[in-house]
Amino acid sequence: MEGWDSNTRETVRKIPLLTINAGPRDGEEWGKRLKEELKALIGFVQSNKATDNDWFQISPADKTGTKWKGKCWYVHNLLKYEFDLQFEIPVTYPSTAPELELPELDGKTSKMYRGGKICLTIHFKPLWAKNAPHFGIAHAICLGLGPWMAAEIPYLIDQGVVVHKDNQAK
Amino acid sequence: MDDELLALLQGLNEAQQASSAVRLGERNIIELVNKLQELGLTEKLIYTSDGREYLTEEQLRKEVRQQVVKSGGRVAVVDLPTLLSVDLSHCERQAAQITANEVDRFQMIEGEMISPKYFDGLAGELSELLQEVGKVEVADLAVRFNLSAEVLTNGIQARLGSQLEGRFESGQLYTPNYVARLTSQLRGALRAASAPISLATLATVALGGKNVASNSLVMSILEDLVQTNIATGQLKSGIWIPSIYGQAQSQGLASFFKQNGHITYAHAKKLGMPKPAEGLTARYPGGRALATSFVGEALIQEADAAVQEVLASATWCDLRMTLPPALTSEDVVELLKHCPSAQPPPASKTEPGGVTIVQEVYVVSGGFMQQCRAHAEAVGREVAAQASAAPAPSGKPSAAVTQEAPAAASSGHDSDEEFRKGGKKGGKKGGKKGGSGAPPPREPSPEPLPTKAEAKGGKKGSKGGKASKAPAGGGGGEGGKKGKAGGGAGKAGGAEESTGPSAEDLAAALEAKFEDLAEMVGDDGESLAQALATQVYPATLKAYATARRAVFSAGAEARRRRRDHEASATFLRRRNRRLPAAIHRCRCRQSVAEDGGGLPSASPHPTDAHRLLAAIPRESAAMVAKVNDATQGTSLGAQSITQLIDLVQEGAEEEGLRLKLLDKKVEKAMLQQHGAALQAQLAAAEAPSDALSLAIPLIISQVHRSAVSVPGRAIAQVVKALKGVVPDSVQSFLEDYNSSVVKHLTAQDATQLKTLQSKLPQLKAVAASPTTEI
Repeated sequence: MEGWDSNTRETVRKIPLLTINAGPRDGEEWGKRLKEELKALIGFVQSNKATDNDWFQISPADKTGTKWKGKCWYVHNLLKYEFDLQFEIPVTYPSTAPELELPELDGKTSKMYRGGKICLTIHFKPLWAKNAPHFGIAHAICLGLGPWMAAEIPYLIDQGVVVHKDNQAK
Repeated sequence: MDDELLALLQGLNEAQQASSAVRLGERNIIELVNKLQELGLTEKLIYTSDGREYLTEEQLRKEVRQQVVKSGGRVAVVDLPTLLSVDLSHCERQAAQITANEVDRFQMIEGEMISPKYFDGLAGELSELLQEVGKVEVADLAVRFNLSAEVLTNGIQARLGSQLEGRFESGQLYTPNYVARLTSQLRGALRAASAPISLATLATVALGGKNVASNSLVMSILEDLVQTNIATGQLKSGIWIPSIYGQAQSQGLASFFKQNGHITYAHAKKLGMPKPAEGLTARYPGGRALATSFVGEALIQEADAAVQEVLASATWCDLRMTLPPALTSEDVVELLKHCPSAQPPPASKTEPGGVTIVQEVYVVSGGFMQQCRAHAEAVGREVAAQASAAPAPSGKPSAAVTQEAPAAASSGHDSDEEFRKGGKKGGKKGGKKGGSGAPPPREPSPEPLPTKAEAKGGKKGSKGGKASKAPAGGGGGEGGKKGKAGGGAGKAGGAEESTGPSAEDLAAALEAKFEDLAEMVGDDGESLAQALATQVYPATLKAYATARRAVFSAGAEARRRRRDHEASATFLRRRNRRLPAAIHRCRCRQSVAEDGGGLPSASPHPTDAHRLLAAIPRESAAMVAKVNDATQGTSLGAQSITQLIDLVQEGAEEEGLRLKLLDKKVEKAMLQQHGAALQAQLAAAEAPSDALSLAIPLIISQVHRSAVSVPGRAIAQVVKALKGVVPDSVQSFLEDYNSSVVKHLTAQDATQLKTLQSKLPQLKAVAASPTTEI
């Protein structure tokens, strides 16, 4: 975990690790896995709340829990920039990490694949592969989305690519 | 979807819906705090160097105080930033404020905050150290505790006697036992000293030979001991003088003075009296302070008694024999001033009844002086009698007596001009000799030829004699200011003459009469007899002069009778003018001194002499004729000359004239003058005969050192006589020239004259240097 800052590392350590190695096609095992995923997310959210560092909100979009939707936000210069967040659990999950999407930023930055999928760092995939199946959705948000937003959003704001919603009206 | 899953979803939802705990970040807090400070809502805050804490100045001061106490009462300000994580500038500011406000609790010393408790602990540690090693140097402590010596010294001195037992002396700490032991040793040494000793030496001796002069503790203890009078004595310039030594010195001085009746100042100084004259006078009021000694009353009385004895017995005594030998001559002189009997009478110290101090140490009574004076006068009379009785060559010794008397000086008015000139020169010469200050040892001259010059010399000599307290007319020459000008009557006129007995003779006579005088020799080598002779010498001379004057008076009466026979003063002048012409020929041979430098005139022709003789009165004619015969008929031999001079002098005496005695030096001067005159005349002469008549006397004056007058007919004889004296070539040249001149004069040959004139320069050259070959 050399590529992350100390806060991130500290936060990751607080997220409970998952034990069940099952994907969406594994039936009941996936249900167990989904429960662990929810527990991990609850722990991650509580941890963020406790540290006054709440920066996303997410919930399953279907009953199987393979699609997820929600919001994430970033405070910059006392302005809160909020973006839609969505992703699907891949079939090869948990060996493959989910691809997190910010559809509003699609085409606005080079650090993003088509469809608004964020481009994770070169450290993420090895780390994920190394820790699979113990890493889950919470880990992907913490280690993937969080650093990406911290790096890209201020830049995009400064570039004027991203404009606060209050200023958009102007 | 089972219940568990729903519950979890519900839980997630709840968790996300739950509000976040309000938690400000560090950055926000920093910004908030800065904002508050900018707004002045909080007091000034200091943040730690790690940036995690804010603290107020009061808190920092509190922490600084705690840190000082925690560090054992001493902490360096530069260490505070590390210890308190606060910037150095804040630490320094608060430390300075603390030390300024709490002086009694904290001190800022050389960048360190030190509390008094630190020095308390230091004193305790030092106390233990002192007990172990006995003495400790502050320098070592300063190095050990990393403090300056001054700070350490102040801290130690403030706690000496309370928290630190010991003695602090010049940078060293000593235990009380050490100081007590040292004090005991030095006290013992001080009390044991019996002679003056420097404190450094005393300390060195007392402490077993260690050189402790530089140890101020030792010196301090010594000074304390001296001041507390533990040992009796005095400390002067670092020298300890025990009382016992002073007492011994005082006793020794008193004992010496009591035993000897006197003490020299040098001895008194040795015995510890720095100003002996004042000290002894104050101590012994009856004594007298002399030049180099102090004498007691007894010694003065003893000397006075000796003087009285001398007076009573009309003798003399040497006070040095009576007084202690330590007294110098100066002391004796001063001592005599304090003797009542030795005080000279107001009028004169040589009055009968008084005493005379001779050579500063001999006390001679007036009676003895009278005896000496009487004997001296007797000697003077005796010598005068001998001088008068002695057969003088002139046969008229009384004439000399006549002129040496001062009263007779004016009697020379009848002398001729020649005598007056010679007299002046003689007087000058006599004056010079008289001015040499030599005593006048005068033997009666066997050949006195008194002149006026002699009389003048005598007169001037009398002035010199007055200056030196010699009797008038006593022959002068005893020195004095006037003696230089004319004190030498003895040599006046260039002739020996009698002035009476010399002082040496008189001293010898006194020694012969008073035998004990001969043994007494003064400090200057002069015997008592000589000193007495000097005292009574004037009386001797006076007696001598009186006696000689008496003899002269007898002869003068006879001369005066003869003069009465003279016809008139006019005739006397004529006679006096012609008589020298008659006797001139012999005098020219003998001396030119009387002539005043001129060439002697030509001798009178025999016929002229006879004519002159006819004009001379009968009384004198016989003598003059006798002289004339002698000069005419006698060849100029030495014996004849002497006889001729005697004859002339005898004649002159009978005529009442005085002939001056020859003076070699005057003669020499006159000879030179004569030769120079001849030379000048020769150079100007053009006639061969004149040149020859000048050249021959010139040659004679050069080779024989005599001034002669050579008549023309005597030239041939004189030239012959020059053979062997001058080179043969010169002699033959002169003979040839003379014969040529004779021929020329007889024949009046003109050719001969030319020849002679051609040889004239050679003749002049020969005359200039006759001893040179031609």
